[in-house]
Amino acid sequence: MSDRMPDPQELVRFLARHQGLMQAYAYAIVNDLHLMEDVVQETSLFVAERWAQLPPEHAAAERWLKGVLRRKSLEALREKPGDHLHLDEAALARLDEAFDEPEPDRAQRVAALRHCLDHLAGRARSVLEARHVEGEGCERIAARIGRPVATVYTILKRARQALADCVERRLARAGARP
Amino acid sequence: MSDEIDALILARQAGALSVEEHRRLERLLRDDPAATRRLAYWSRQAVDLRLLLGASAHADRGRRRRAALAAAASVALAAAAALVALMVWPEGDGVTTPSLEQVLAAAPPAPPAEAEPPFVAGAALTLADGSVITREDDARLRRLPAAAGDLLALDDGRIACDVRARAADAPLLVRTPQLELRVVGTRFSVAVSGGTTRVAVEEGAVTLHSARGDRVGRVQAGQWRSVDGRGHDSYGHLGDLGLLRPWDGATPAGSWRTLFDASMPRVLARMRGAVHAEIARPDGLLGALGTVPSSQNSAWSVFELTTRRAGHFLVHPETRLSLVLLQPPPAGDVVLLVLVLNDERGRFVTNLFHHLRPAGRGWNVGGIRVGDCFVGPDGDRSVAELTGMRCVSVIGVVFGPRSREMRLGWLRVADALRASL
Repeated sequence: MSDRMPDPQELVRFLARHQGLMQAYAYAIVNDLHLMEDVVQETSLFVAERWAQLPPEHAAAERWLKGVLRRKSLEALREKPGDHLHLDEAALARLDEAFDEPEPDRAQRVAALRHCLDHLAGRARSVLEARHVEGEGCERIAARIGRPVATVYTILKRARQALADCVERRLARAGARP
Repeated sequence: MSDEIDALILARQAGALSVEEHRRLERLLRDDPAATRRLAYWSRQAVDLRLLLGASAHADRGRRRRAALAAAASVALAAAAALVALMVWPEGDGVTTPSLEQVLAAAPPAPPAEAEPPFVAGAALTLADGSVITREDDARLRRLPAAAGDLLALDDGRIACDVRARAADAPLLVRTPQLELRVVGTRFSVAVSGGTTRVAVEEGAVTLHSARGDRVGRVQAGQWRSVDGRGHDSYGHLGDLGLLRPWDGATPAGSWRTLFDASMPRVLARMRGAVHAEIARPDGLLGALGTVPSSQNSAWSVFELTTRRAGHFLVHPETRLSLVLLQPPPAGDVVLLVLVLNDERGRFVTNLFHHLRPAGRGWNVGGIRVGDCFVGPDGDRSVAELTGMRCVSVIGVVFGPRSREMRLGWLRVADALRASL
């Protein structure tokens, strides 16, 4: 427990600024959106409790935060019942480096994805919602829509690739404007 | 190569990766920096999709939910009014709506703040193995002698159980008038009301037996099951009971919105099994109130209110919130009250924050002035600008990092927001 409590505004600002990083980094490790949210929540609490230990310098603070996220993610995976395929230490170390690189045009990227999603309808959208919002397994989605599970995988893959292409095209167009 | 990397990562995120493919992806992640960059890219896309799709999905569900609640409210109006009257804490220093006063006038005199019934006393039962059984204030729970394990009898009300893993021959048994639950380690709640037992399981699984000892079934994590005295059985996924979430995925005003958009679906999903009151006021306000224990050591107390028809609240900086915590937050905790305000079209307006410092009269955190709240770091309006702002819904979250079972008793709606319907 730290000897000083965080100023709430300062804490909120820090967590808000790093929310995207925390979620994406934790998800890359645990590969489960619900578990990711638990990890982010536990990490937020840890940050609040250990506020005094947070390095003041930005890059060091992010390294510290990723260290906490990684530890909390691995703890969460250990507690998760069943057999799961986890990334090994070396792969995780590489992943750390990838998340050191800042994400360019974050706000534009989210806005572009929102626009692209507006044009995604029908089965692809409902499958994406089932998987990414409700966290449903592909087998269950397949049973619900009455299609083979391989079809669900294909729908998910194509929809996400189409959205990624749409986002890149939109960002490229925006970047090309004077 | 990059096509292969993308295919493997997308398959992993769809849960479709074989062991061999996992090993291949792991090798690529170790040896090829492009692979980890792609994993970062697709992970960011996945969480963004959750955020953006979640906001619109919850808006749809909220509309369906409101329609259902409106129908139920017309039938249960009298009962709901009595419930609201009991829950709203009368106090003389705020603005009250006439409709609420009418309700209060018909209610028994409310006790002073000091007489707030403490939730803690006698409410939490810790078993020898460290399992914790928490009961609601009005739950009738008895502990009975058991040959092996523990035996509890729940006659009425609701309990929440956090049961440590234990041997199959020494289970925790929870006996209700309709069912007997056998538990060997899980988190779940049981509610007995009106001749019905409802079981909601957050983690693990609970086996159900009839009063005669016949096996009725099993409730898995994320499911609920309800059995009445005549053997009528209903069940479903906790996710089927979407709570009010009227915004429609419009552009967020700041990253605090992003933060809460990302966390609220999960919080609300947990709340579905923990709602301890639904509100249906005669003046058209609907809402729900619940406590959401987190996975380890925190709790989100959440309430949500919305208008049933085309009405709105008027926000004024001089209005006050009176908050009743039914349990003191641990010393030194940072407890934030967060109000998420949405406009008439369900679009996000802003978040208001207040650092709660419970003091004085019991746990009644009275008299928080809206004008003293602070707007989120990326909020685009000042509190003063909110004067007269029309809002159709408010989501409030009390967040205490170490408050496992902190409960929000009630927010004085009438003092906080004036309904204009």
